Amino acid sequence: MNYLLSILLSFCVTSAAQSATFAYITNQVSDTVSVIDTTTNQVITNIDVGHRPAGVTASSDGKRVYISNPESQEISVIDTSNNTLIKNIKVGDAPVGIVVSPDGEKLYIADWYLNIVSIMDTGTMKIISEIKVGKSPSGIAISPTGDHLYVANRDDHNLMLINAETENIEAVIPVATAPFGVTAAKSNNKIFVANVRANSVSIIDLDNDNQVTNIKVGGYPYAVAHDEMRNRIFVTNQHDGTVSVISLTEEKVIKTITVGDYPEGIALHPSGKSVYVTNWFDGTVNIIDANTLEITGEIKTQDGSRAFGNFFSTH
Amino acid sequence: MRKIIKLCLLAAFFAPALAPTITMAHGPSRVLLIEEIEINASPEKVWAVISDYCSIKDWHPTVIDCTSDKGNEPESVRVITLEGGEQIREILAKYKPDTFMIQHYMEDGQQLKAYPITTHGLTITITDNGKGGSILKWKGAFYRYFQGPTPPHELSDEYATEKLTIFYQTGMENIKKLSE
Repeated sequence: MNYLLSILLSFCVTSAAQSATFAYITNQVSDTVSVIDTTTNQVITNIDVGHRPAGVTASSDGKRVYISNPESQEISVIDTSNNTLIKNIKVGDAPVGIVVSPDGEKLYIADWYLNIVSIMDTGTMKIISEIKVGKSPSGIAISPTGDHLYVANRDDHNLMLINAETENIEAVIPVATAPFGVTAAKSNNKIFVANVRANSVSIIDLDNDNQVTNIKVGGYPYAVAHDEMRNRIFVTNQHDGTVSVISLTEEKVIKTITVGDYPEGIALHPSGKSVYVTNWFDGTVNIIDANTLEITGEIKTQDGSRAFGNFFSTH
Repeated sequence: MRKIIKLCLLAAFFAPALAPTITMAHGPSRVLLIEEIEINASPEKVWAVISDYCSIKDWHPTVIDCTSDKGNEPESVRVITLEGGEQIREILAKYKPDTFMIQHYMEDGQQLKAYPITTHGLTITITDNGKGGSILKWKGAFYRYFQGPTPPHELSDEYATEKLTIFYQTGMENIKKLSE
Protein backbone atom coordinates (compact mmCIF):
# COMPACT_ATOMS: atom_id res chain seq x y z
CA MET A 1 0.00 0.00 0.00
CA ASN A 2 2.74 2.39 0.99
CA TYR A 3 4.56 1.44 -2.16
CA LEU A 4 1.52 2.22 -4.34
CA LEU A 5 0.97 5.48 -2.53
CA SER A 6 4.52 6.55 -3.08
CA ILE A 7 4.25 5.76 -6.79
CA LEU A 8 1.04 7.75 -6.98
CA LEU A 9 2.62 10.63 -5.07
CA SER A 10 5.69 10.71 -7.26
CA PHE A 11 3.42 10.66 -10.30
CA CYS A 12 1.45 13.61 -8.94
CA VAL A 13 4.62 15.57 -8.19
CA THR A 14 6.03 14.95 -11.66
CA SER A 15 2.79 15.98 -13.32
CA ALA A 16 2.58 19.15 -11.28
CA ALA A 17 6.16 20.02 -12.08
CA GLN A 18 5.74 19.30 -15.76
CA SER A 19 5.53 22.49 -17.69
CA ALA A 20 3.45 23.40 -20.68
CA THR A 21 3.82 26.09 -23.29
CA PHE A 22 1.21 28.79 -23.76
CA ALA A 23 0.78 31.40 -26.49
CA TYR A 24 -0.28 34.89 -25.39
CA ILE A 25 -2.04 36.49 -28.35
CA THR A 26 -2.86 40.21 -28.26
CA ASN A 27 -6.22 40.98 -29.87
CA GLN A 28 -6.01 44.57 -30.95
CA VAL A 29 -9.67 45.13 -31.78
CA SER A 30 -10.97 43.32 -28.69
CA ASP A 31 -8.58 44.81 -26.10
CA THR A 32 -7.79 41.32 -24.84
CA VAL A 33 -5.07 38.68 -24.73
CA SER A 34 -6.10 35.14 -25.67
CA VAL A 35 -4.13 32.44 -23.86
CA ILE A 36 -3.68 29.28 -25.92
CA ASP A 37 -2.58 26.05 -24.27
CA THR A 38 -0.38 24.65 -27.03
CA THR A 39 -0.75 21.05 -25.86
CA THR A 40 -4.47 21.13 -26.70
CA ASN A 41 -4.41 24.21 -28.94
CA GLN A 42 -7.45 25.58 -27.16
CA VAL A 43 -7.95 29.11 -25.88
CA ILE A 44 -8.15 28.65 -22.11
CA THR A 45 -8.94 32.26 -21.22
CA ASN A 46 -9.12 35.81 -22.54
CA ILE A 47 -7.57 38.50 -20.36
CA ASP A 48 -8.71 42.14 -20.52
CA VAL A 49 -5.72 44.43 -20.95
CA GLY A 50 -5.29 48.05 -22.13
CA HIS A 51 -6.53 49.69 -25.35
CA ARG A 52 -5.45 48.14 -28.69
CA PRO A 53 -2.84 45.73 -27.34
CA ALA A 54 -0.01 45.05 -29.81
CA GLY A 55 3.35 43.92 -28.45
CA VAL A 56 4.08 40.92 -26.27
CA THR A 57 7.09 39.44 -24.49
CA ALA A 58 7.47 36.71 -21.87
CA SER A 59 10.02 36.46 -19.06
CA SER A 60 12.30 33.47 -19.46
CA ASP A 61 11.31 32.05 -16.05
CA GLY A 62 7.75 31.84 -17.40
CA LYS A 63 6.25 33.86 -14.56
CA ARG A 64 5.25 37.01 -16.36
CA VAL A 65 4.02 38.21 -19.72
CA TYR A 66 4.16 41.88 -20.69
CA ILE A 67 1.82 43.51 -23.21
CA SER A 68 2.12 46.93 -24.89
CA ASN A 69 -1.03 49.00 -25.48
CA PRO A 70 -0.15 51.86 -27.84
CA GLU A 71 -3.56 53.57 -27.73
CA SER A 72 -3.87 53.68 -23.94
CA GLN A 73 -0.12 54.21 -23.46
CA GLU A 74 0.20 51.32 -21.06
CA ILE A 75 2.17 48.19 -20.36
CA SER A 76 0.02 45.38 -19.00
CA VAL A 77 1.73 42.93 -16.66
CA ILE A 78 0.23 39.43 -16.58
CA ASP A 79 0.79 36.84 -13.86
CA THR A 80 1.01 33.58 -15.78
CA SER A 81 0.34 31.37 -12.72
CA ASN A 82 -3.34 32.32 -12.82
CA ASN A 83 -3.46 34.34 -16.06
CA THR A 84 -4.62 37.53 -14.42
CA LEU A 85 -3.66 41.11 -14.96
CA ILE A 86 -1.35 42.36 -12.21
CA LYS A 87 -1.28 45.96 -13.34
CA ASN A 88 -1.52 48.42 -16.24
CA ILE A 89 1.36 50.89 -16.11
CA LYS A 90 1.31 54.23 -17.96
CA VAL A 91 4.34 54.54 -20.27
CA GLY A 92 5.17 57.21 -22.85
CA ASP A 93 3.04 58.07 -25.88
CA ALA A 94 2.76 54.83 -27.87
CA PRO A 95 4.55 51.72 -26.63
CA VAL A 96 4.75 49.18 -29.50
CA GLY A 97 7.64 46.68 -29.62
CA ILE A 98 8.70 45.28 -26.25
CA VAL A 99 11.28 42.78 -25.07
CA VAL A 100 12.26 41.57 -21.62
CA SER A 101 15.94 40.99 -20.71
CA PRO A 102 17.02 37.33 -20.35
CA ASP A 103 17.43 37.80 -16.57
CA GLY A 104 13.88 39.18 -16.43
CA GLU A 105 14.93 42.38 -14.66
CA LYS A 106 14.39 44.91 -17.40
CA LEU A 107 11.67 45.56 -19.93
CA TYR A 108 12.69 47.47 -23.05
CA ILE A 109 9.88 49.45 -24.69
CA ALA A 110 10.03 51.05 -28.16
CA ASP A 111 7.88 54.19 -28.24
CA TRP A 112 6.48 54.91 -31.71
CA TYR A 113 5.91 58.64 -31.11
CA LEU A 114 8.60 59.64 -28.63
CA ASN A 115 11.39 57.98 -30.67
CA ILE A 116 12.90 56.44 -27.58
CA VAL A 117 13.40 53.07 -25.97
CA SER A 118 12.23 53.23 -22.36
CA ILE A 119 13.72 50.85 -19.82
CA MET A 120 11.45 49.61 -17.06
CA ASP A 121 12.63 47.95 -13.87
CA THR A 122 10.31 44.94 -13.74
CA GLY A 123 10.61 44.78 -9.94
CA THR A 124 9.51 48.32 -9.14
CA MET A 125 7.60 48.64 -12.46
CA LYS A 126 9.10 52.12 -12.91
CA ILE A 127 10.92 53.61 -15.89
CA ILE A 128 14.59 53.89 -14.96
CA SER A 129 16.11 55.13 -18.21
CA GLU A 130 15.46 56.24 -21.78
CA ILE A 131 17.54 55.82 -24.92
CA LYS A 132 17.04 58.21 -27.83
CA VAL A 133 16.68 56.20 -31.03
CA GLY A 134 15.48 56.93 -34.60
CA LYS A 135 12.05 57.75 -36.05
CA SER A 136 9.08 55.49 -35.25
CA PRO A 137 10.89 52.67 -33.47
CA SER A 138 8.75 49.56 -33.79
CA GLY A 139 10.32 46.12 -33.45
CA ILE A 140 12.86 45.41 -30.74
CA ALA A 141 14.91 42.31 -29.99
CA ILE A 142 17.65 41.40 -27.54
CA SER A 143 20.73 39.21 -27.87
CA PRO A 144 20.58 35.88 -25.98
CA THR A 145 23.08 37.18 -23.42
CA GLY A 146 21.16 40.41 -22.99
CA ASP A 147 24.11 42.63 -23.84
CA HIS A 148 22.73 44.11 -27.04
CA LEU A 149 19.42 45.52 -28.22
CA TYR A 150 18.30 45.72 -31.83
CA VAL A 151 15.72 48.36 -32.72
CA ALA A 152 14.03 48.89 -36.09
CA ASN A 153 13.41 52.57 -36.79
CA ARG A 154 10.55 52.31 -39.23
CA ASP A 155 10.64 55.82 -40.66
CA ASP A 156 14.44 56.07 -40.71
CA HIS A 157 14.71 52.75 -42.57
CA ASN A 158 17.46 51.42 -40.35
CA LEU A 159 18.30 49.03 -37.55
CA MET A 160 20.07 50.31 -34.44
CA LEU A 161 22.47 48.20 -32.48
CA ILE A 162 22.54 49.36 -28.85
CA ASN A 163 24.83 48.30 -26.05
CA ALA A 164 22.35 47.38 -23.32
CA GLU A 165 24.78 48.08 -20.50
CA THR A 166 26.18 51.46 -21.56
CA GLU A 167 23.01 52.35 -23.51
CA ASN A 168 25.25 53.64 -26.31
CA ILE A 169 24.29 53.25 -29.93
CA GLU A 170 27.04 51.15 -31.45
CA ALA A 171 25.84 50.97 -35.04
CA VAL A 172 23.12 52.27 -37.32
CA ILE A 173 22.57 49.84 -40.15
CA PRO A 174 20.52 50.94 -43.17
CA VAL A 175 18.14 48.16 -44.25
CA ALA A 176 15.22 48.92 -46.60
CA THR A 177 11.99 50.95 -46.54
CA ALA A 178 9.99 50.72 -43.30
CA PRO A 179 11.60 47.99 -41.19
CA PHE A 180 9.17 46.67 -38.60
CA GLY A 181 9.56 43.27 -36.93
CA VAL A 182 13.02 42.30 -35.61
CA THR A 183 14.15 38.84 -34.54
CA ALA A 184 17.58 37.91 -33.20
CA ALA A 185 19.04 34.45 -33.73
CA LYS A 186 19.77 32.55 -30.54
CA SER A 187 22.98 30.77 -31.45
CA ASN A 188 24.74 33.14 -33.82
CA ASN A 189 25.01 36.83 -34.51
CA LYS A 190 22.32 37.17 -37.15
CA ILE A 191 19.40 39.58 -37.06
CA PHE A 192 16.29 39.36 -39.23
CA VAL A 193 14.19 42.40 -40.12
CA ALA A 194 10.93 42.58 -42.09
CA ASN A 195 10.77 45.67 -44.31
CA VAL A 196 7.08 46.53 -44.72
CA ARG A 197 7.26 48.87 -47.70
CA ALA A 198 10.12 47.18 -49.49
CA ASN A 199 8.50 43.73 -49.56
CA SER A 200 11.77 42.29 -48.36
CA VAL A 201 13.47 40.80 -45.36
CA SER A 202 16.97 41.86 -44.32
CA ILE A 203 19.43 39.37 -42.89
CA ILE A 204 22.16 41.16 -40.97
CA ASP A 205 25.36 39.37 -40.15
CA LEU A 206 26.89 41.07 -37.12
CA ASP A 207 30.01 38.91 -37.37
CA ASN A 208 30.66 40.04 -40.89
CA ASP A 209 30.82 43.84 -40.82
CA ASN A 210 27.04 44.09 -40.30
CA GLN A 211 26.58 42.94 -43.85
CA VAL A 212 22.98 43.16 -45.04
CA THR A 213 21.41 40.64 -47.40
CA ASN A 214 17.93 41.52 -48.66
CA ILE A 215 15.55 38.86 -49.90
CA LYS A 216 12.25 39.62 -51.63
CA VAL A 217 9.17 38.20 -49.94
CA GLY A 218 5.42 38.97 -50.28
CA GLY A 219 3.36 42.15 -49.80
CA TYR A 220 3.91 44.17 -46.61
CA PRO A 221 6.05 41.77 -44.60
CA TYR A 222 5.55 42.27 -40.88
CA ALA A 223 7.57 39.96 -38.65
CA VAL A 224 10.02 37.05 -38.71
CA ALA A 225 10.34 33.71 -36.89
CA HIS A 226 13.64 31.85 -36.89
CA ASP A 227 13.96 28.07 -37.04
CA GLU A 228 17.59 27.55 -36.00
CA MET A 229 17.48 23.78 -36.36
CA ARG A 230 16.48 23.82 -40.02
CA ASN A 231 18.24 27.10 -40.79
CA ARG A 232 15.08 28.78 -42.03
CA ILE A 233 13.09 31.91 -41.38
CA PHE A 234 9.34 32.47 -41.69
CA VAL A 235 8.01 35.89 -42.70
CA THR A 236 4.38 37.06 -42.47
CA ASN A 237 3.15 38.96 -45.55
CA GLN A 238 0.22 41.11 -44.40
CA HIS A 239 -1.21 42.02 -47.79
CA ASP A 240 -0.88 38.59 -49.39
CA GLY A 241 -2.18 36.52 -46.50
CA THR A 242 0.88 34.31 -46.75
CA VAL A 243 4.02 33.25 -44.94
CA SER A 244 7.29 33.11 -46.90
CA VAL A 245 9.67 30.38 -45.83
CA ILE A 246 13.31 31.21 -46.56
CA SER A 247 16.20 28.79 -46.50
CA LEU A 248 19.14 30.70 -45.03
CA THR A 249 21.58 28.31 -46.67
CA GLU A 250 20.19 28.99 -50.12
CA GLU A 251 19.16 32.57 -49.28
CA LYS A 252 15.89 32.19 -51.14
CA VAL A 253 12.18 31.60 -50.62
CA ILE A 254 11.55 27.86 -50.68
CA LYS A 255 7.82 27.97 -50.01
CA THR A 256 4.93 30.41 -49.71
CA ILE A 257 2.20 29.20 -47.38
CA THR A 258 -1.34 30.60 -47.53
CA VAL A 259 -2.59 31.54 -44.06
CA GLY A 260 -5.41 33.84 -42.88
CA ASP A 261 -5.85 37.51 -43.77
CA TYR A 262 -3.34 40.12 -42.55
CA PRO A 263 -0.92 37.72 -40.87
CA GLU A 264 1.19 39.64 -38.37
CA GLY A 265 2.84 38.14 -35.28
CA ILE A 266 4.79 34.93 -35.85
CA ALA A 267 6.95 32.78 -33.55
CA LEU A 268 8.58 29.39 -33.43
CA HIS A 269 7.15 27.12 -30.76
CA PRO A 270 9.84 26.34 -28.12
CA SER A 271 9.60 22.66 -29.10
CA GLY A 272 10.94 23.64 -32.52
CA LYS A 273 8.18 21.61 -34.14
CA SER A 274 5.76 24.30 -35.23
CA VAL A 275 5.33 27.95 -36.06
CA TYR A 276 2.31 29.95 -34.86
CA VAL A 277 0.98 32.82 -36.98
CA THR A 278 -1.63 35.37 -35.92
CA ASN A 279 -4.12 36.66 -38.51
CA TRP A 280 -5.23 40.19 -37.66
CA PHE A 281 -8.14 40.40 -40.08
CA ASP A 282 -9.59 37.00 -39.17
CA GLY A 283 -8.95 36.91 -35.44
CA THR A 284 -7.30 33.51 -35.75
CA VAL A 285 -4.00 31.73 -35.26
CA ASN A 286 -2.61 29.26 -37.80
CA ILE A 287 -0.20 26.50 -36.88
CA ILE A 288 2.45 25.51 -39.42
CA ASP A 289 4.38 22.26 -39.11
CA ALA A 290 8.01 23.43 -39.14
CA ASN A 291 9.12 20.25 -40.85
CA THR A 292 6.50 19.63 -43.54
CA LEU A 293 5.62 23.35 -43.88
CA GLU A 294 1.93 22.44 -44.00
CA ILE A 295 -0.85 24.13 -42.02
CA THR A 296 -1.90 21.77 -39.25
CA GLY A 297 -4.41 23.85 -37.37
CA GLU A 298 -6.43 27.00 -36.92
CA ILE A 299 -7.45 28.45 -33.57
CA LYS A 300 -10.15 31.10 -33.19
CA THR A 301 -8.89 33.92 -31.00
CA GLN A 302 -10.57 37.34 -30.98
CA ASP A 303 -10.70 40.30 -33.39
CA GLY A 304 -7.45 41.91 -34.43
CA SER A 305 -4.95 39.23 -33.36
CA ARG A 306 -1.55 40.85 -33.62
CA ALA A 307 0.88 39.31 -31.09
CA PHE A 308 3.91 41.39 -32.09
CA GLY A 309 6.89 39.72 -30.37
CA ASN A 310 7.80 36.34 -28.97
CA PHE A 311 4.43 35.35 -27.54
CA PHE A 312 5.32 31.92 -26.11
CA SER A 313 5.68 31.32 -22.39
CA THR A 314 6.61 27.98 -20.82
CA HIS A 315 5.62 27.44 -17.23
CA MET B 1 12.90 94.57 -60.34
CA ARG B 2 14.04 94.51 -56.74
CA LYS B 3 10.48 94.05 -55.69
CA ILE B 4 10.15 91.01 -57.93
CA ILE B 5 13.34 89.46 -56.56
CA LYS B 6 12.09 90.07 -53.07
CA LEU B 7 8.82 88.44 -53.97
CA CYS B 8 10.60 85.46 -55.50
CA LEU B 9 12.77 85.04 -52.42
CA LEU B 10 9.71 85.22 -50.26
CA ALA B 11 7.94 82.65 -52.41
CA ALA B 12 10.99 80.36 -52.32
CA PHE B 13 11.06 80.68 -48.57
CA PHE B 14 7.45 79.61 -48.20
CA ALA B 15 7.40 77.05 -50.98
CA PRO B 16 8.41 74.07 -48.83
CA ALA B 17 5.53 74.81 -46.48
CA LEU B 18 3.10 74.96 -49.40
CA ALA B 19 4.18 71.66 -50.90
CA PRO B 20 1.87 68.85 -49.84
CA THR B 21 3.49 66.77 -47.14
CA ILE B 22 3.35 63.21 -48.33
CA THR B 23 4.21 61.18 -45.32
CA MET B 24 4.25 57.42 -44.95
CA ALA B 25 4.00 57.55 -41.18
CA HIS B 26 0.77 56.59 -39.50
CA GLY B 27 -0.77 55.89 -36.11
CA PRO B 28 0.38 52.87 -34.11
CA SER B 29 -2.64 50.63 -34.51
CA ARG B 30 -4.86 49.60 -37.37
CA VAL B 31 -8.64 49.85 -37.05
CA LEU B 32 -11.08 47.15 -38.20
CA LEU B 33 -14.46 47.80 -39.80
CA ILE B 34 -17.06 45.17 -40.58
CA GLU B 35 -20.43 45.79 -42.23
CA GLU B 36 -22.92 43.20 -43.44
CA ILE B 37 -26.19 43.38 -45.30
CA GLU B 38 -28.64 40.74 -46.40
CA ILE B 39 -29.75 40.87 -50.03
CA ASN B 40 -32.73 39.10 -51.59
CA ALA B 41 -30.81 38.06 -54.68
CA SER B 42 -28.45 35.22 -55.45
CA PRO B 43 -24.69 35.69 -54.95
CA GLU B 44 -24.30 35.48 -58.76
CA LYS B 45 -26.67 38.40 -59.21
CA VAL B 46 -24.96 40.53 -56.59
CA TRP B 47 -21.55 39.67 -58.04
CA ALA B 48 -22.73 40.78 -61.46
CA VAL B 49 -23.38 44.25 -60.05
CA ILE B 50 -19.95 44.71 -58.47
CA SER B 51 -17.70 42.33 -60.40
CA ASP B 52 -16.07 44.96 -62.54
CA TYR B 53 -13.33 46.70 -60.56
CA CYS B 54 -14.43 50.11 -61.78
CA SER B 55 -18.18 49.47 -61.43
CA ILE B 56 -17.98 51.37 -58.11
CA LYS B 57 -18.76 54.54 -60.07
CA ASP B 58 -22.09 52.95 -61.08
CA TRP B 59 -23.16 51.61 -57.71
CA HIS B 60 -21.62 53.91 -55.11
CA PRO B 61 -23.67 57.10 -54.77
CA THR B 62 -20.70 59.23 -53.68
CA VAL B 63 -18.20 57.98 -56.27
CA ILE B 64 -18.58 60.00 -59.44
CA ASP B 65 -15.86 58.51 -61.61
CA CYS B 66 -13.45 55.61 -61.91
CA THR B 67 -10.70 54.71 -64.32
CA SER B 68 -8.37 51.74 -64.13
CA ASP B 69 -5.15 50.82 -65.92
CA LYS B 70 -5.61 47.05 -66.12
CA GLY B 71 -9.31 46.36 -65.52
CA ASN B 72 -9.75 43.28 -63.34
CA GLU B 73 -6.17 42.08 -63.80
CA PRO B 74 -3.96 41.57 -60.73
CA GLU B 75 -2.45 44.82 -59.42
CA SER B 76 -4.74 46.91 -61.57
CA VAL B 77 -4.78 50.46 -60.21
CA ARG B 78 -8.10 52.29 -60.21
CA VAL B 79 -8.49 55.98 -59.56
CA ILE B 80 -11.85 56.80 -58.03
CA THR B 81 -13.18 60.33 -57.84
CA LEU B 82 -15.33 61.23 -54.88
CA GLU B 83 -18.02 63.88 -54.80
CA GLY B 84 -16.07 67.06 -54.24
CA GLY B 85 -13.32 65.94 -56.59
CA GLU B 86 -10.88 64.14 -54.31
CA GLN B 87 -9.23 61.15 -55.97
CA ILE B 88 -8.09 57.89 -54.39
CA ARG B 89 -5.73 55.39 -56.00
CA GLU B 90 -6.45 51.76 -55.14
CA ILE B 91 -4.61 48.56 -56.08
CA LEU B 92 -6.50 45.36 -56.83
CA ALA B 93 -5.00 42.67 -54.58
CA LYS B 94 -7.31 39.68 -54.91
CA TYR B 95 -10.02 39.04 -57.49
CA LYS B 96 -11.92 35.75 -57.21
CA PRO B 97 -15.03 35.46 -59.39
CA ASP B 98 -15.43 31.79 -58.34
CA THR B 99 -15.90 32.65 -54.69
CA PHE B 100 -17.31 36.18 -55.20
CA MET B 101 -14.46 37.95 -53.48
CA ILE B 102 -12.60 41.14 -54.26
CA GLN B 103 -9.86 42.82 -52.23
CA HIS B 104 -8.11 46.12 -52.79
CA TYR B 105 -5.77 48.51 -51.01
CA MET B 106 -5.19 52.22 -51.11
CA GLU B 107 -1.88 52.96 -52.79
CA ASP B 108 0.93 54.22 -50.52
CA GLY B 109 1.66 57.86 -49.91
CA GLN B 110 -1.89 59.24 -49.93
CA GLN B 111 -3.34 61.31 -47.15
CA LEU B 112 -7.06 61.84 -47.71
CA LYS B 113 -9.18 64.89 -46.99
CA ALA B 114 -12.58 63.18 -47.03
CA TYR B 115 -11.39 60.58 -44.51
CA PRO B 116 -8.51 61.23 -42.07
CA ILE B 117 -6.66 58.08 -43.11
CA THR B 118 -3.46 57.13 -44.89
CA THR B 119 -4.04 53.42 -45.48
CA HIS B 120 -7.18 51.49 -46.26
CA GLY B 121 -7.79 47.91 -47.34
CA LEU B 122 -11.18 46.44 -48.14
CA THR B 123 -12.30 42.86 -48.69
CA ILE B 124 -15.75 42.38 -50.19
CA THR B 125 -17.36 38.94 -50.05
CA ILE B 126 -20.74 37.61 -51.13
CA THR B 127 -21.98 34.39 -49.57
CA ASP B 128 -25.14 32.32 -49.86
CA ASN B 129 -27.50 33.05 -46.96
CA GLY B 130 -29.15 29.62 -47.27
CA LYS B 131 -32.53 31.16 -48.10
CA GLY B 132 -31.97 31.88 -51.75
CA GLY B 133 -30.37 35.23 -51.04
CA SER B 134 -26.94 36.56 -50.16
CA ILE B 135 -24.91 38.15 -47.42
CA LEU B 136 -22.77 40.99 -48.65
CA LYS B 137 -19.88 41.63 -46.29
CA TRP B 138 -17.39 44.48 -46.31
CA LYS B 139 -14.39 44.01 -44.10
CA GLY B 140 -12.00 46.91 -44.04
CA ALA B 141 -9.03 48.22 -42.13
CA PHE B 142 -7.27 51.55 -41.96
CA TYR B 143 -4.58 53.54 -40.21
CA ARG B 144 -5.21 57.18 -39.34
CA TYR B 145 -2.52 59.61 -40.48
CA PHE B 146 -2.49 61.74 -37.36
CA GLN B 147 0.68 61.17 -35.37
CA GLY B 148 0.42 61.45 -31.61
CA PRO B 149 -1.63 60.03 -28.79
CA THR B 150 -4.32 62.73 -28.72
CA PRO B 151 -5.73 63.42 -32.19
CA PRO B 152 -8.36 66.13 -32.56
CA HIS B 153 -11.81 64.61 -33.13
CA GLU B 154 -11.85 65.19 -36.89
CA LEU B 155 -8.53 63.33 -37.26
CA SER B 156 -9.29 60.53 -34.82
CA ASP B 157 -9.87 56.81 -35.39
CA GLU B 158 -13.43 57.24 -34.10
CA TYR B 159 -14.25 59.96 -36.63
CA ALA B 160 -12.65 58.03 -39.50
CA THR B 161 -14.64 54.96 -38.44
CA GLU B 162 -17.86 56.97 -38.41
CA LYS B 163 -17.24 58.47 -41.87
CA LEU B 164 -16.03 55.24 -43.47
CA THR B 165 -18.96 53.31 -42.01
CA ILE B 166 -21.28 55.73 -43.78
CA PHE B 167 -19.28 55.22 -47.00
CA TYR B 168 -19.59 51.44 -46.62
CA GLN B 169 -23.30 51.49 -45.79
CA THR B 170 -24.25 53.84 -48.63
CA GLY B 171 -22.44 51.61 -51.10
CA MET B 172 -23.87 48.41 -49.71
CA GLU B 173 -27.44 49.66 -49.61
CA ASN B 174 -27.22 50.69 -53.23
CA ILE B 175 -25.71 47.33 -54.25
CA LYS B 176 -28.73 45.74 -52.52
CA LYS B 177 -31.11 48.00 -54.43
CA LEU B 178 -29.47 47.27 -57.77
CA SER B 179 -29.34 43.52 -57.16
CA GLU B 180 -32.89 42.97 -55.92
